[in-house]
Amino acid sequence: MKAKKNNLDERQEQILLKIEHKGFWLAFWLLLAAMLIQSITSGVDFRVYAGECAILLIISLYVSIECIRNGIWDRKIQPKASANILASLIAGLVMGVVNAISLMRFFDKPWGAIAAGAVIGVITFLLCMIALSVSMRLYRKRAEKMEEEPEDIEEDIIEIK
Amino acid sequence: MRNLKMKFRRIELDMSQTELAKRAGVTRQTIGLIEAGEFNPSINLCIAICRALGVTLNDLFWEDEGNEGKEE
Repeated sequence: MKAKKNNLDERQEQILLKIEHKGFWLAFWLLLAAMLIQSITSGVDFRVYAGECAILLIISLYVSIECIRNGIWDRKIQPKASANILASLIAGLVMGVVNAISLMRFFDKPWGAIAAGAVIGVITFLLCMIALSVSMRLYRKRAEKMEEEPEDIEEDIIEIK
Repeated sequence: MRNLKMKFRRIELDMSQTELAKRAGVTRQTIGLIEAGEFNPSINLCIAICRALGVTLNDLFWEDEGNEGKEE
């Protein structure tokens, strides 16, 4: 099938890519925010936001796999254990607080919900650390392989000489 | 279109892709892809590569109309 002609020039193409990029991240963070709010308002009923959770998981897996495959980690953050710990701490803290709030209704005293939230926070922290450490290892392996110097093909050298 | 002029100049200077990449401030893969004609660099990157190789934009990136797309 013949590919359709692109109606955009280079500048327009770049602007469209930027718009799509911002649109993607807006959708990603809004979806995450919607899930967190739903988990607070619906208690622990996972079925309420299972669809959003599946979509977010698929998107996250796609982005992670493609980035690792192409030897890309992040624009600003270096692949370091300290950055992974910080990111996992933030994730653990958010999950801990959100779950503590949503579990309040099931406990007579707030300490029970806070303790449950803390356990969930710690589990989230550990799972994030494992996921980030494995991803970092895979990324390093891939980036190393991609940075290997190829041998200049002899045919090319003869051709250009 | 493969950029053999760039590859030739690099080989002439006995420079590896990794070395050129360092001097131009990009990854080795990017240099490899430009030489293979699979990535079109921005004008800023073209200038950085030319500076690293001690040549002008014309020397590396100008193609006469008849030669354009010849190696595609």
